[in-house]
Amino acid sequence: MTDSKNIHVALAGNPNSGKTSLFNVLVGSNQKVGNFTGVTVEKYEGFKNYREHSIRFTDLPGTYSLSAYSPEERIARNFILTEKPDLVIHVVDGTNLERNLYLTTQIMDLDIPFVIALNMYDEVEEKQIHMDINYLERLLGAHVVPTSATRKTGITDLLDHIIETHTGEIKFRRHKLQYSQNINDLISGLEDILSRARDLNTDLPYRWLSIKLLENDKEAYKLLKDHPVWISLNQFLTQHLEPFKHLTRNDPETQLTEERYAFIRGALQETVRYPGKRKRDLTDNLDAILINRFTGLPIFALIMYMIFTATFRLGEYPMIWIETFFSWISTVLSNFLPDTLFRSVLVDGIIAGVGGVLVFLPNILILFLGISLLEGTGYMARAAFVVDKIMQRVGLHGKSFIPMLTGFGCSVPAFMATRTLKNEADRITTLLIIPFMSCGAKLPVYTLLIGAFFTTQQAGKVLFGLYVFGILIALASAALFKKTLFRGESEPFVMELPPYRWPSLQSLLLQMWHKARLYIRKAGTVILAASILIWIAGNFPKDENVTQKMDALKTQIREQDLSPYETSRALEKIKAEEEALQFEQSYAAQLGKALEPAIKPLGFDWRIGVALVSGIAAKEVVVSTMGTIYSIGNNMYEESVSLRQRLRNDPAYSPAMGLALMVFVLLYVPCIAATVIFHREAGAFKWTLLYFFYTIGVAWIMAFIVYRFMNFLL
Amino acid sequence: MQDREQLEGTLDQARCGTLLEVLSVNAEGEIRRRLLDMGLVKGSRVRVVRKAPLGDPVEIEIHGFFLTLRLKEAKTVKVRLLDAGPGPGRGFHHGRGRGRGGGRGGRHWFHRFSPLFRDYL
Repeated sequence: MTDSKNIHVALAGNPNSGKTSLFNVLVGSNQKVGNFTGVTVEKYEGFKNYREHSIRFTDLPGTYSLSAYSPEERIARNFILTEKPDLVIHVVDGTNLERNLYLTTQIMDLDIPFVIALNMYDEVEEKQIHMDINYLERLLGAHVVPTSATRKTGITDLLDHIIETHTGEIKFRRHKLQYSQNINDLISGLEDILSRARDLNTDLPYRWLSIKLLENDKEAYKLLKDHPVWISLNQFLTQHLEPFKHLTRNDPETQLTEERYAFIRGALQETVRYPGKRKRDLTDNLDAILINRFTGLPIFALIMYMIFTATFRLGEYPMIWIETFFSWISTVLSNFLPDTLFRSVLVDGIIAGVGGVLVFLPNILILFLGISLLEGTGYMARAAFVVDKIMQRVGLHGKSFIPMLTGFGCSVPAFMATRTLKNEADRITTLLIIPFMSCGAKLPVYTLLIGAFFTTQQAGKVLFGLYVFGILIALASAALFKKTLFRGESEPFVMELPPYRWPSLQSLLLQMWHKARLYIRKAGTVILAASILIWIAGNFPKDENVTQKMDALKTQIREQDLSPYETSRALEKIKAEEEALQFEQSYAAQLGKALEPAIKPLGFDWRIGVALVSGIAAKEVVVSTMGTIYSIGNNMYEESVSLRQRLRNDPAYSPAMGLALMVFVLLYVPCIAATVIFHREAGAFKWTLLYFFYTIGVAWIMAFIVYRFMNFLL
Repeated sequence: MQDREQLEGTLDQARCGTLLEVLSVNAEGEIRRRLLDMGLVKGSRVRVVRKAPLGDPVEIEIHGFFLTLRLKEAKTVKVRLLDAGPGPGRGFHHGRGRGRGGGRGGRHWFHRFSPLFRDYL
């Protein structure tokens, strides 16, 4: 592999410029997804062999600008400046040059070789917009290649450009954007100081650094502030800024932006002709229905309902198939293998664990198909527009709505859905409050407890109250986090409503594929390991005495002269008894018992503690664990009493305690699978710790209040 | 004949359908950067398209694309009225809330009683 045959190309462009579609067309399915170092922004890389060269493409996050405010912008510009790709393909939406070329002016400042892919050229022609591409190339100092990702036109032309720029057949003109005299004086003054400075430990272009200093760019300041050159820079700035402001009645930052837009306006006047007045198009007509004052909210509610139902109702069928498949494997293996520890590890540990990982896959796939559709068509931005007022109240972004709603089904896909939020503070806050949206697995717990402690008339109200209570806690928590941890860090709600477009099937499928792969590879393994650990905690250590005693009982029964049916029933009962007794002194149960002093004030005893601990494996396990524990000490011939009945009859329990328990289950830390995903999405250990202690803390306090209050009332 | 005071205002007060010219952006920090980046610079033309169903945020058309921003942010954008658009009123709401603005004297009885329709249809 000679170096000259390898070309590294980065794709930069506005969101919704068709950059990702173009990337998909360029590399096909030969791509992989990872993260940019240190941040949870997805990095797509693809490979293509063309004309004996191997081209590596990196799809940079879509940005409107290259300032230092959002992580996407920092990534895009740092990538271009430090990784130094051989060529940047700047993808531009041909139907909206005015705004897209703004990023072009910033790329021009970087002084790097770039080629413009004038994308959506099919739409440009359809709208009969005439462009003088040669002239545009001269003005921008870069080659302009008309492309269309949807029609797959101009792709070979673009690839040829990549090769020919690399081999030197095409020369990049290094065209500088010329600013007005006033600004230029400032820029060259700063540039001069920088070029004279010794051991300035940076290879960033000086002109670009000077411009960034004038734009009050945080990162440029940070870079230069501690260097001796800062003294001269600062002196120059204090000396020249006041006269500049006086003369132009403007600050350099605004002046620069205005001049960029003035340049664009001038360039477009020279090169582009629009056919008369803009006509109403599909976007105008759809928006008139989809987001108008009267139908906007109902349509939003309908679309959310459809996504939720599809994800969890439609997803139920493949989930059942997966469960059936794995239980079938378990049965088959149990029948073939002898009853040993190995069988137990394989069947109850590993296979159950793998099944537990895969069972979330249908939800994830369907939800992300829905989200990709919403994002691809352009409705996602409208959804945020419609509900923003509500989310604004608690300091969240309109886009937080979908992850929160998904939380009612399952926290795992909900956590993953927070990726649509670009702002770190908004994303972490949303992640932290999703656990309070009562997930589907908690329903069996409510059903059991409501059935045990409340009348049929009360049941509906209690259940509804729990869900509302969860929402209230979530909203209050969001407001709390936004006022304390993330004070003033909200992303400004300044958002484009992109034209409606139909996303390509290829990009939809690729999105789903990436999500599924990421989930299984990155999270699946950890979830699997964690479920096996939990299984060990629930099954070990074994008490030899119990085993022996039960084995004795079994042989005793086998020797009795009973019918085969009676024998198997008796054996089953003994086995259940044995499991319960073994569980009672397992690590999980020991932990539950150790917790008793901590949960006593909530009216819970050690048995509840054990159930809650095992609920960390999965919430529905709370019910089955309670079933196991409460079966202890039953006479094996006694008529089996339902768990509900048993809870009701237990003198230690009351409706107050039942309600407190439901509140606790509603609020405390979600299952291990969700926790693993949370950690992956939040990206830092401190957030996972906060998540763990905050959920448990809130659960404890709220359960305490409910328990005491109910006792006071009753 | 409108006096100067009624020709100038902030973007959050502008009625739907009005055509405006941006005079200045008075926000700070990231919000300022965002607004500038999206093209809200002196001399840009803005058309107020609609408000969200709950009255906030507002959607505008600028440089040939649609942009939405919260009233809180729109308040920092100083604008001048170029064209009040179809219907009565003078382009800006006055005082708090979505009120009837300058609809007094109404040109059509329907609009006198239904300021909402003027704003949202």
